[in-house]
Amino acid sequence: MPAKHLSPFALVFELGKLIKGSWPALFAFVIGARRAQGNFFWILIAGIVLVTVLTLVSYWMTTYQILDRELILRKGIINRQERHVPYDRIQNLERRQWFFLEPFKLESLSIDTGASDVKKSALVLSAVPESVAETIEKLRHQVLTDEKSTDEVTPTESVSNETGQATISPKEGVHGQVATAKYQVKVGDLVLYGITDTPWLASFAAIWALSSELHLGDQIGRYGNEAALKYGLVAIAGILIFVLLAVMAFNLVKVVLRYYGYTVARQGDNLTMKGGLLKTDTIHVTLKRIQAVEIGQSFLRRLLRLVTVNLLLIKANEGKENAASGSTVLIPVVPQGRAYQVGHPLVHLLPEQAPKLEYGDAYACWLRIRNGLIWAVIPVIAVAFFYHGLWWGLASALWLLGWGFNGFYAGHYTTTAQLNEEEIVLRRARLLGIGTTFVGWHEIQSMNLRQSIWMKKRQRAHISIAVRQGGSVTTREYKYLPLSQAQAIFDWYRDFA
Amino acid sequence: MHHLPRAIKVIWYEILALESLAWVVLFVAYWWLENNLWSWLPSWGLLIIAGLAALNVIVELILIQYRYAIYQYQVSETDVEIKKGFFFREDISIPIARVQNVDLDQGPLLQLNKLYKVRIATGGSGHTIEALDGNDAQRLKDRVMALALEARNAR
Repeated sequence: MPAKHLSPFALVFELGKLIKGSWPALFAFVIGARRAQGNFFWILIAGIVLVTVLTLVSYWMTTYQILDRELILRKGIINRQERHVPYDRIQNLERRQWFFLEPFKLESLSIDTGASDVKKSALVLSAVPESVAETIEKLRHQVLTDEKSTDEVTPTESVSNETGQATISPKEGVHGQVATAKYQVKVGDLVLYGITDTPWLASFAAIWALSSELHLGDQIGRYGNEAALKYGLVAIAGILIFVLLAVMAFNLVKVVLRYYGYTVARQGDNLTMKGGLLKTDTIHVTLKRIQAVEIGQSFLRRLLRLVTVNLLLIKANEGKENAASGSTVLIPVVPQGRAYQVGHPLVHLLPEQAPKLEYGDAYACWLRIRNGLIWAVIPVIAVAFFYHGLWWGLASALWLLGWGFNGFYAGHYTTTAQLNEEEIVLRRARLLGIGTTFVGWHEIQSMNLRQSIWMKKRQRAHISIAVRQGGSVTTREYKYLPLSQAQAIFDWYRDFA
Repeated sequence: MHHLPRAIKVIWYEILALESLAWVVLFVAYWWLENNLWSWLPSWGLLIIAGLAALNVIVELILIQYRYAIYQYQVSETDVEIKKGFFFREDISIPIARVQNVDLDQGPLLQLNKLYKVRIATGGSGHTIEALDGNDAQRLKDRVMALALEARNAR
C-alpha cells in the first residue's frame, strides 16, 4: 500500500490544536494589538501567513502507510521522523468521530503503540477514513493468529448481559468475532448521572467565564441588589439555587454529549467502549492493559443507588501537557444491584457478586474524625482572630460537623480483604465518595505497610499499593486498618507463590 | 535481613551537622535583623529558635541510632523487602517480577564516602535503599536484575 496523506480535514484539526496551544500568546497579542496600531497590523498578518504556511507544509509532509505487519508514519518538516508500529504491539486504539465528519466517514485515530516509554507511545492520525482503523484491526488480528499456536482460547461463554435493549448479534465485532458480553447504558440512568455529577469548580469556572462574556453578571448583580434590598435572605437563596441549577444543567448536557448511546462490549481479548453525541468516541482496549477495576460511588449517587465502574489502565499520553490522570470509564452509570452482574463478563477482575466486606470499627472512625478535626480547626481559629460572632459560631459548627462526619464516613468504609488466591479488594472513602478497588497480584507494583509507634501499640496499620495507570503510577492508601487484616494482606503479597 | 553499612551513620551525622549550621545561620540572621532592621521582632524569638534547634539536634542524634537499627533490607528469590523508620515504620515489599530496573545514584555526601543509593524501579514508581557500599550495591543490582530477568522469562 502506498503512503497516503491524511484527509484535508486534518488541516482544520491542526489549526485548532495550534490555536488551543498558543491561545495565551494569542491573547496577549490581541490585547497588545488593541493598543498599538499600524505596524502591528502588518506583523499580525505576517504571523497568520507564517502559521498557515507552516500548517500546510506540515500537512504535506505527514504521510502514513499501511503494510502487512506494520504501520509507518512519516512526519516532520526539518526533523524527519519515521515511526514504525508493528501491529502485534498495538495495545489500545481510540477512534473519535465528530458528527460533521460522519458523512465523509472520517475519524481521528489514536494508536497506543505499547512503547516502553508510555509518555511517547501514542501515535495520532487526526483525520483518516474509517477503513484505516478497520484494516489495522483486521491485519492485527491476522498477525496475532499467525503467531499464536492453535490452542488459542476462543471465548465459550455465551453469557448475555443486557439491559433488555441491546442484543448480541453475530455481526458484532470488527472481524466477525462474537461479542461475549455487552452492556448499554440506559438514558434514565445517564440523566441521573449527569445531574449528580460534581466537578463543581470546573463548571463554576466555565459558567463564570460564559457569564462574564454575556455580561450576565451585571444584570444579575443589578437585579440581585434590588431584590436583596427588598427580600433579603430569600433573594440570596434564590440566586444560589439558580446557580446550582445552572451548574447541574451544564453538567447534564456535558454528560449526555459524552455518553449518549454508550455501549461497552468484550470480544476475545479486547474491550470496546463507544459513545457520544456530537463526537463518537470508540476505545479499543487490550485486556492485558487493565491494571485494576474500581467501583466508585459519590454520596449523591449512593442515595440514588447508582455506581460508576472505572478501569485503571496503562494508557499512552497523547503528547498533551497534562496527561489524562483520571481512570478510564468502563460503565459511566449502572444501578448498584446490577453492577457486578453486568461488569463481571466484561472484566473478570470484578467478581460475580458484591463481596461481603467488613466495616471499620469505632476506633478507626474516631482516629479519622480526630485527624479531620485537627486540620479543620485551624481555619476556624484563624478566622476567630478577625471575627467571632454568631455567624462565625454557626458556620464553624457546621464546618466542624461536616469534617467530623467525613472522618466517620472514611473510617467506617475503609477496609481490605482477599478475594481469592490472585486478587484483593480494597475500599476507601474520600469526601463522602466510596471507591472499591479490585486488583490482582501481578498488577500491584509494590505494597507498603506503615505504622507509627502509637499505631503499633493499638494494633493498627496503613496499607498502600502502587498500581500503574495512564503513563505513570497511582498510589492508593488505606488507613488505620486492624493490624491482623493489614498483615494478612501484606503477607499474601509478599509470600505469593 | 541486612543492615545498611555503618558508614551511613557518619553521613547522617554529617547531614545533622549541616542542619545545625542552618539553625545557627537562622539564629544569627534573626539577631542581626532584630537589631538592625526590624526592631519589632520580639527578642524571645531568639530563645524559641535556640530551643527548637537544640530539640531538633538532640532528637535527631538519638534517632540516628534507632534509624540504623531499624533500617533493613533483604533480597529473596521472590521479592525485595525494605524495613525502615522509627516513629513511622514502613515495611515495603517489591516482587522481583515487577522490578524493571535498578539504578545506582550518588549525591555529593555519598560520593565522599564511596556509597551508592540503590533505586529499585518498578513499572512507574521506585523504592530506594538509602546507601550501600560499591561492591554490595553492584552485587545487589546484578542479583535483582538476574532474578527479574528469570521471572520475566518464566512468565
